[in-house]
Amino acid sequence: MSGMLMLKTMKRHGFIPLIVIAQVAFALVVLVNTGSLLRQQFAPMLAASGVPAGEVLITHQLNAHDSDRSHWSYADLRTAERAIRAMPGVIAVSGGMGTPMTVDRMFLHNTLSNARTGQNAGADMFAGDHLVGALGLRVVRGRDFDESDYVTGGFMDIYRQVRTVVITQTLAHRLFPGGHAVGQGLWLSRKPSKDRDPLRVVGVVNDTLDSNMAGGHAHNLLLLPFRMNGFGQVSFLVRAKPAQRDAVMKRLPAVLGQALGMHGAQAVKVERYEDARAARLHGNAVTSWLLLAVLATVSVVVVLGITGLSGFWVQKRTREIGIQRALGARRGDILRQYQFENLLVVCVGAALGVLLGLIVAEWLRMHFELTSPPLMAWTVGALVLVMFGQLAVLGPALRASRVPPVVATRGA
Amino acid sequence: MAKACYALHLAWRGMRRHPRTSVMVVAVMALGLAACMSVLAIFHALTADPVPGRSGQTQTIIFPAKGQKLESIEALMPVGPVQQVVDRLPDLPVAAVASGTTRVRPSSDPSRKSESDTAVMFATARIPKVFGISLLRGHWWTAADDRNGAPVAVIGIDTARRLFGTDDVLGKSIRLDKKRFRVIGVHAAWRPALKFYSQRGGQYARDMAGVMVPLLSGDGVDVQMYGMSCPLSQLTDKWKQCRFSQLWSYGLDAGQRQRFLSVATQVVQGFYKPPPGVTPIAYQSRLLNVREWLILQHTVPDSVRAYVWVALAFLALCLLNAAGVLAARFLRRGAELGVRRALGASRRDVFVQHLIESGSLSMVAGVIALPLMLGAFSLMRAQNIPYGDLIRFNVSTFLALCVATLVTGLAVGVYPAWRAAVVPPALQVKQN
Repeated sequence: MSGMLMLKTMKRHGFIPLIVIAQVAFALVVLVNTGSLLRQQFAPMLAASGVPAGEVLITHQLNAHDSDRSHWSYADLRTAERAIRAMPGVIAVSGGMGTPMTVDRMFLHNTLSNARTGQNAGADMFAGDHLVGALGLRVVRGRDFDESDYVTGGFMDIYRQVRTVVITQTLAHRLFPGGHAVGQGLWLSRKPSKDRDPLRVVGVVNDTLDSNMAGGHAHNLLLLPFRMNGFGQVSFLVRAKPAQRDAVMKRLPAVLGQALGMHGAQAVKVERYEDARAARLHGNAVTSWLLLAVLATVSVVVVLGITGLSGFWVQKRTREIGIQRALGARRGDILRQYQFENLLVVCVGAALGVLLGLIVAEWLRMHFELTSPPLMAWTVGALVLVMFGQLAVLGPALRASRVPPVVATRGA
Repeated sequence: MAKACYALHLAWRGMRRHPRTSVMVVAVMALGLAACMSVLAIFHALTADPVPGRSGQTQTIIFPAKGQKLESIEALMPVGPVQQVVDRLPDLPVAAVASGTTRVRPSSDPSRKSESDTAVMFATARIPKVFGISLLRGHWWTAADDRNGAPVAVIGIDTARRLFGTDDVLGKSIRLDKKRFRVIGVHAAWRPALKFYSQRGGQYARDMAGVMVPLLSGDGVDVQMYGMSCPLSQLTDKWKQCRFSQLWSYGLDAGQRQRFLSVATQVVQGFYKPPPGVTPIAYQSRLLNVREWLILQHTVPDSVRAYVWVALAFLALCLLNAAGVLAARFLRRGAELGVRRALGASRRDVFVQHLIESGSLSMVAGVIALPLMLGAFSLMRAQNIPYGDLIRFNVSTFLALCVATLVTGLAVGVYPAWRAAVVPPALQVKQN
């Protein structure tokens, strides 16, 4: 059957193809956007944590108020670190600010720049005493901090005094593409500072998760050799042997509470790294399920919608099909005709959907800096809908192909 | 009347005759309504006008350097310069505001454990005029108190009752952190829909300031704040350098605006005077009203806008689907309709009959959408999202759902009903 004749038939029953086209267009918009939202939710759930399983503990932020003081000196924190390290099973301890999963509610985020090329990247920063050891990270290139790197001081000293940094592989790749990061300089800001030298990268460690795991750069992380002096809030990272971690976790509040002179152990909250991560990602998990439910619903709705309308269309055209058969069309011809019609309609719908989606995405991008789903996503979405369309029309098309030629002689 | 009953009866019969498609139409429409209305309710809560009738007139000032991109942090300044601006404009309704949380308790009762994290507003004397806060008892502090940093407080009526169990609290004392403040006034409850005068995530907090004290009296009080330029939560010693105060004005005319802008810019320029030989930063100060300020701060998270768009498309898909199913169903009855038309039913009768049929389906869908929405809300509140506190089901959400149900019922029903109504009687009798 020629295309022109088919178009004429479709025009006569205009409203059914039109409704299918509109449904496909909106379905495509929903599918593609939901899919890209789903990917954003999934990214941090799939990101590797990079820390040894079953070893790391994180304390929530401790408040100096709970020991009736306005702040703690480094000497206080060192006493606490020593007390923790003395516990059986403890491998490494670090007091610091900025922790994975932001369990201490504090996080440092800066735009860093390559001192030579100006290439920049946003990254979270952890400042602490023995972070590489306490997180159980692997030094991939260069070295860990040594005693001469450490700076003891107040908050501004992070920016004024610290001269060396350790960065993750991903961040090294972003800031120093195609070269060795170790020995290179970087700034803790977008622009160079005038009266200072850039900070030097002394080591690169394997990727680990940053503070809030948002925005697709969960592995951009920078470690600073810093001993906090005169801070009102601090948190601790503790790494213990897997077999003894739970015992350490149980005793840690009492040990820390005593070492820092806090009232009672209940002011110290400790979480396992894995639990903190799961808790932080709970929202992502729920949102992902919701989005998956939306995807499933849209798929079912669009398939049932096309099936229903095609079924009705076949029923309306039973006599016409009978005549075609009587005039020599084979069953396969009828089947193919309906599938082709469906392909045409779905393609038009998908094209309109892409157009609509891109227009709205562009508008959103212009006004609200929203990124639009990539073209690839639209292509995949359109292909999926074509598949759904063919699947949905299969039943009605088979029914149409089984209409006997004798129907032509019946009725009016 | 009898006619309407008959139409209703026919609609009911129609639904019973096609239980499968009826269930499908109802389910699809209920899902579409629930998803779309939930997202729109959140969007509405986030875009609500926090100070209705005043937001256009309530303006803040922002100090971007020349050629620099507008960023909300540039509205924040240290307490010194903002106090100076307020002092130099004694005749204008201009006030400086900093907000944060600290521990508050009645000072008469040392045994009582202090409430942690009570919202406190540090502001200058003209704040009631600028934000439209009315006083119930006592008096506000004066410009002289501002300059001396007098430890006096005006507290909200709710706070008064919570702390002291009575409204009559004039002359009593409270402690913010460790510092003692004398209560000199009680203000009426003041609850903007959004905490617009706060920064960043602080805007979603439900607890409005229940304690207001002069800006400079905050020295020595340990306050937790959002949106400071120094990421410190201990302000005690950094009070002077840190940027966390913002200037607000209300109802200025064009000339006054100009004066406000030039004085504020001058003061800030003077405060950040560079050493000799270095070119000073040229500020291009601007006034922003509440709406513009909220947009600049991304109070409506971008993801919510994406969700609104997806939810609208989803609703459109659901409605098209329901319309398609209904149209197919109505036209399948072609023969029967032809007979009805031939027996004298008017086009209008047929039209109304089908509209009622689709309308009642959408009504059922609306009723089912209600618990779905409530479920979605409680699910979202259970999540750790910053604006979770703002998500709640209220009367206006319910009314919006009712209107949406009605509109979608019409949108879905009109076209299929019209298709059913226009089929000519003769042709229908003849066919099949």
